[in-house]
Amino acid sequence: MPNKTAQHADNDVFTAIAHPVRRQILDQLSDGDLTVKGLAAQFDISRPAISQHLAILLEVGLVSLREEGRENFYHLEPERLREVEAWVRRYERFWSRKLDRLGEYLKRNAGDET
Amino acid sequence: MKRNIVMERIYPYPPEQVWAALADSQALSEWLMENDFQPYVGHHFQFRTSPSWGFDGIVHCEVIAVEKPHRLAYTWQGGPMKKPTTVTWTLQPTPEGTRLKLEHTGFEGAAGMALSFLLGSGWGRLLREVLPKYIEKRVTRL
Repeated sequence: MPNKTAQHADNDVFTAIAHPVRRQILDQLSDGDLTVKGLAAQFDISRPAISQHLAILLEVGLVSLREEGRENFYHLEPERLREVEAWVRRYERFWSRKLDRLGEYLKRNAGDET
Repeated sequence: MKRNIVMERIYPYPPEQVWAALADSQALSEWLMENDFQPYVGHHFQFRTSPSWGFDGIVHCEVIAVEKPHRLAYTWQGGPMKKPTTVTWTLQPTPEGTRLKLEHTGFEGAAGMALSFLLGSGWGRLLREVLPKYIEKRVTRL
């Protein structure tokens, strides 16, 4: 997949953690909060590239940002990995709406026949 | 406890009429989503909607049961699901019309694959120290 995909709204926790660099970032943050500079020191890739990965992790909520003085520290939010519960809730709302629509469809269709 | 979805509705129409809305591509496109469904076991099809809630809008499905007008089931895999879930429709005649039961199951499996993918990919400290307590918490709640 091209890198651009990362910018799209279809990012979720699972696509976020699918990238090895992002998993390594999470791994690093599990030891404690770090700045972009601190993180970049651990990797062979550029700081802008690290920032881009961090933006994706921020977007899905796996990391948060904490300001301290002039520096921004990234903080791990592992709670977000419990995504499955979010799906179930989302699908409950989805099906509830769809079952309402099915009722409307049946009514409309029955009306056509009489 | 399993985290599955079970919903029931009663519609004031006979099962045959409700079945016609569930097992017909045109009808499904009007109340559920655009699709290329066909009521044959083994038929692979897709539901398509505009991308939202963190997925590309495509749900990959395979018909697994067609028992007119009692039961219809297909697999359902979309968004972050690493394995398909299952959607089952059961129709039961009642004096008022039809009791329709929807079951959407298998979320644990779909996520379980994602977790096993994580487990197999060498997380180091995060995996050893941070994740286990969350996974444990999640598993005990299932």
